[in-house]
Amino acid sequence: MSGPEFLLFYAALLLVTFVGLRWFNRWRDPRAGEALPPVPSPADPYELAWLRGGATEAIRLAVYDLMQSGHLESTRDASTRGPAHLLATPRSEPSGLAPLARVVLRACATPQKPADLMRGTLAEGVDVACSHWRLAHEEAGLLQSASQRTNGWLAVIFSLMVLVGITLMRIDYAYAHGHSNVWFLIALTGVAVMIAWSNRPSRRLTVRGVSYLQRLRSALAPSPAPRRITPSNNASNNDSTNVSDDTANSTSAPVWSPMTSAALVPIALYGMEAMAGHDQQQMRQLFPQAAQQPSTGCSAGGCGSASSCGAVESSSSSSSSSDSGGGDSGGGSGCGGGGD
Amino acid sequence: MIAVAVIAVAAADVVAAVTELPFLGAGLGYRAPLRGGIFQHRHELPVLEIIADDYLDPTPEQLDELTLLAEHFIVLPHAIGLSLGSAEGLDHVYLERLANLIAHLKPPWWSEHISFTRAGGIDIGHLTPLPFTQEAVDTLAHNVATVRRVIRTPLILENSAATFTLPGEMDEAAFITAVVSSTQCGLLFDITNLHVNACNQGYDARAALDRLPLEHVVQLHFTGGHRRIDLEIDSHSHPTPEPVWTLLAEVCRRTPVRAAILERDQRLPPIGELLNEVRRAQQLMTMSTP
Repeated sequence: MSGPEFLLFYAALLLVTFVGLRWFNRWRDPRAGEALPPVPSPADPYELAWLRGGATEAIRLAVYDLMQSGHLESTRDASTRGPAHLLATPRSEPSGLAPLARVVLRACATPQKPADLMRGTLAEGVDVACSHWRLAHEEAGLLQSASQRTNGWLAVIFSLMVLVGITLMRIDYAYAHGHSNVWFLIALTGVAVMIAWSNRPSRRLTVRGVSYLQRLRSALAPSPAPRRITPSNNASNNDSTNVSDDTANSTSAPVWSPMTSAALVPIALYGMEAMAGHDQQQMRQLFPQAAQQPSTGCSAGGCGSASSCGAVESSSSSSSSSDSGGGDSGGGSGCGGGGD
Repeated sequence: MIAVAVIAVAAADVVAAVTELPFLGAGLGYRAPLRGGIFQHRHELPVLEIIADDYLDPTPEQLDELTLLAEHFIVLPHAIGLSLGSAEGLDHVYLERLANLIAHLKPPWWSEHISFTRAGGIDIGHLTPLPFTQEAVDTLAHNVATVRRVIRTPLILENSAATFTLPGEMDEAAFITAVVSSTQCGLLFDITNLHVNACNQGYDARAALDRLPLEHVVQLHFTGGHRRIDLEIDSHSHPTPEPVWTLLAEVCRRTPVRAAILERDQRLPPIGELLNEVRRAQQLMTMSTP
């Protein structure tokens, strides 16, 4: 086969690989076209945050929740300019606290670096404790299961091996016959590798899961416009999500209640983008790694938290896939039990 | 005598049709800024009412919004601009769009007002009360018949608030009774409108209930307005006042109401406040359900 003929063959192979991987991804996600599950009511913001970005996003929401309610504070040693620490305030643990928030609060009984919360035993415990959410969402076709991810990786690795292997064989053949003009082939191989790599199963969510997250946003928080949680003793007046809050202001001691959980929903669905200015600034300082990435959720790379959480999220995601069939949290009491 | 008998038979048909309609419970008038709160409390809101006119020529975003709502709630379209009382007939473009909307939502019923909003080809932009005359009743019945040829879904008619009354041959209760009988429609009884009219025109709202065709009531509207100088304004801007709650309880006691919708348009409070009112209405409906 002459050089130009081989290049044509290789380009055709590249096209077949691209179409094949796309088809394979669709085949791995057979429920993509099905009707979406209904919007939960009442929605648990921690479950929403977990769906969007796994344990990392759920922990970050808990930190925000606890700081808003005054049960957690950030401390920074001004002289050392070192990283901030999170520390539980010396007040009694509120009875109505969300299970996952309680776990985070207890973990912060001693000063904790925010980044350590994401990669330590806490994150692993939360991930295991949330396994009932993972199973439910995988069953609903919203999350990629471990086998789906494995199959996806196998397909990508196989494609890369074929494409790169053929290139190496051709280069060997070319040099054996005294030819050295292989740079165009190498460039083409680079393109092929990028195409194959772009089809890697990096997303937590399936196509259906991404659509569902969009639906949740559309229903529960149509706009990520920042808002501030205004704690109140009067739960019925405190659900100020998306409406004028002329009656929802109180300076009394904050009390966690299911109504404040409704106010957390936009933050669960959008992340820092939905926080008011000062709160957002504070959270960005605590979690600079996440702040460097857009927290707009599912974008080109899949669910934003996957990209926004960087290496921490990757490790947490991989652990979630590896133990997807694993232990239960001990009932439907939320995330707290198993992580405690 | 024959005319009276015909009206009696027609009324019996209406009552029969009304009793076949499903019981939906208490719900809320959907307003876009409330969407997040409404979905958060979906388990407490079995039914929503939308202003049909907002969705007659929907954008793709509005179509998505309608689909989302229809997949999670029973959505009742409430039309404003059909102008059933117009002597010149109906706007057929409007009617066609309304029919499309209703076909999309598949509600158990839909509603319009006993009023007119268009005259001489000019859109008045306001729900205007009809003169309480037989001619107005006949005009309305003719227009309703036209609507029925296009939209099969049951139509119910709402009594209007009136800051003035046109000269007529009967009082409001007799007029509404004649309209319901002639059109064979159920009644969307706006309790607040009755309260406002009674205050402004100086009659006893509770006594008026005795003369209204309550057995035809399918749905209720309730909300609070405000007072300007010596006039009650039906502005949908305040919590439902106690006199309206008393009337609502009385209507629920007298007849099985299928749905009750809180209509709040201005000064939207936190969703919790609206839900408290919806819960109270639900409680009154449940207590009165046989």
